[in-house]
Amino acid sequence: MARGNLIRYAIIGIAIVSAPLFLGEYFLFIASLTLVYTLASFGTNVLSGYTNLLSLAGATFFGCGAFGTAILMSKFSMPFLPAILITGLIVVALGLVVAIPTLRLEHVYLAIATLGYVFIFGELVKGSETLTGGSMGMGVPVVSLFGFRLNEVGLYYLNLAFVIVLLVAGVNLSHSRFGRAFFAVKNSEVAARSLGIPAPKIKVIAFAVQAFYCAISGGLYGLLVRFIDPSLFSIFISISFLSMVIIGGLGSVLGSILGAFFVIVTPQLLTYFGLTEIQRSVYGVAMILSLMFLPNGLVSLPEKLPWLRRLLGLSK
Amino acid sequence: MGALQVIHLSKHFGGLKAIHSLSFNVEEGSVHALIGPNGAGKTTVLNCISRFYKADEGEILVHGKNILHWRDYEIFRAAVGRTFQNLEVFGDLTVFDNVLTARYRFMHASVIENMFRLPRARREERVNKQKVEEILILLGLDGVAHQRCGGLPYGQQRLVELARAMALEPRVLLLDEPAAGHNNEEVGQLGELINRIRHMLRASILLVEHNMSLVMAISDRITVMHNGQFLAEGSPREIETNPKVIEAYLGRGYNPISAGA
Repeated sequence: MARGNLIRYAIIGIAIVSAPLFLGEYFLFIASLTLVYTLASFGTNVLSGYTNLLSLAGATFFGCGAFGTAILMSKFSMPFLPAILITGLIVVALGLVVAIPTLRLEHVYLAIATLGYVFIFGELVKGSETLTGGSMGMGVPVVSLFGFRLNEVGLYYLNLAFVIVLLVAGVNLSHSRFGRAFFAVKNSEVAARSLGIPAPKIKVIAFAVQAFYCAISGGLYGLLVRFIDPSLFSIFISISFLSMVIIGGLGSVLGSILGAFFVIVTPQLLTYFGLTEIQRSVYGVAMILSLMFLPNGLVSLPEKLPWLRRLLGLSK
Repeated sequence: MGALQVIHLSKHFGGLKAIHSLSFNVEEGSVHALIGPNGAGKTTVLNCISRFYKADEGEILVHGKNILHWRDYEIFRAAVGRTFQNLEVFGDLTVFDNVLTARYRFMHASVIENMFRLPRARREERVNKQKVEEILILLGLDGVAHQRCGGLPYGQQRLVELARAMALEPRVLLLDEPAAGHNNEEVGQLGELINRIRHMLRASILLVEHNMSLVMAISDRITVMHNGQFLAEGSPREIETNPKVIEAYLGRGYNPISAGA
C-alpha cells in the first residue's frame, strides 16, 4: 500500500509540476490564481480554523500585501523578492495592531469589529493617490527574477514555489507548540490557560500568521493580474477567504488547498462552459450542499465515499 | 514557610458568601486535603488560587509570593498545576498530544524557528516528547498514547488530565476530585500514584476530594470547610474523631478509616 501511495503522490506531483505543458493560457491563469489564494486560505485557516477566531480583516491584509508589494517595486524600484517579503513583515506588524483591540471580543462580535479595518484601509488607499493611484488603481510591474522577466509559466512556478515553501512551513508550525496552543485555545480556553498557555499572546500570533499569509497572497495576486485598485479592500474578499476555509475543512492544510480550489475554480469553470448567467446561483447551491453534507469540509469527502477512499489508497 | 498559604480568603457571589475568611497552610512536600459537604466552597478555593475567580479579600502565597496580582496563565507558568472536577481534556487530540500541549512553557523557539524547523525547535520537540513518554509510562498510559483521548474510559481520561498537570512540573499541584469515576481498586492505585507523583516532582498537593478512603490514606493534613468557612484542621486521625466534623460532614455512622494506620 505504501508503494501504491507513493505512485499516486508521484502522479499528483508530476501533474502539478508539468501543468503548464498541457494547460492553456486561460487554465494556467486559473491554476496560478488558485495557488495564490491557497496562501490566503491557509492563513485564514490558522486564525479561524485552528484557533477559532472569526475575523473579516483578511481583505485588509490581502489588499495591503498587494499594494505594498506593487508600491515598493514601482515607486522604490525594489526587486520583487525583497519587496514582497518586506511587505509581508510590515503587514505582520499591522496584524499585531489589528489583533490587540479585538482580544476582548469573540465570535460574531469579533467578526464585525474586524470589518472596520477593511473600510478604514480601503479609504486610506483611495486617499493616498500619489502612492496608490487612488480609486483609479495602479499597474503592477512585471516580475524579473535573476534578470529574467517572468511570463505566465514563470509566474505559475513562482507561485508554486511560494505555496510549497509556505505550506511546508505552515505544516511545521501546526505541529509545533504553537499549533498545539492554537488547538488548545480553540477547544477550551480554561484548559489552555491552566496549562500555562498565554491565550492572548496565542491569539495575537494567529492574527500575525493570517496577516503574513494573506499579505504574500495579495502580493502574488498583484503580480498575476498586473493591475490593482481599492476594490481589493472588500468584505467579499474576506468572506471568500472564510468560505474557502469552511468549504475545504477547518483546521486542515489540505482543506485550505481544496477550499481555495473550489472557490476559485468552480465559478471559472461555469463561466468557461457558458453558464455565466447562472454561475453565481450554481456556485451558491454548491456551497450550501457542501456545507450541509460535508460539515467537516471537502477533506472529509473520502470518509463519505468508499470508492474515493480506494482511489486515493486511504485505509479507514 | 508553606508551599501554599491561603490567608483570610473571601469570595462573594452577589449576596452569597462562597468563602468567608478562610486560612490554611499547605506545607512543603505534603498532601493537604480540603474536604467538606457539597457547596462548602472547595472548588471555589481552587478557582481563586488558579485565578479563574478574582478573590475579594485575602492573600494567596505560593512559596511566599502573592499570586493575586498575576495573570491567570502566569500562575500556571509559576509552577502551579491543576486538574478539573469536570474533565477539560482535549477529546480530539491523542493522549500524547494532550500531554505535549502542557509542555508549552518549556519551549522557547519562536514561530519562525518552528516554521523552518531550525535546530532549537527540533531539539525542544525531541526533549519534550521524551519527557511526555516518561510521564505516560509512570501513569500507565503509554499503551494508549496514540489513541484519541475522547474515546477512552472516563477513569483514563482523568489520568490524562493528571498527566497533563504533571507535565507542567508543578511545585504545587491542585487536584479537584481525582477519584471521581474510579472504582475502589482504582482509587487504591490512584492513592499510590499521587504519592509517587509527590515524591517525583517534590510537589506539594492540595487535594479536593469526597472519597474519604483516599483522603484518609494519603493526606498529611486535612482542612474541613463548611458553608464557606473554616470548620477544623488536623491530621486524618484528628479529623475523623472531631465531633464538629462528624456532625457537619462525615455523619454519625462514619467508621474511622485511618484508625488502623
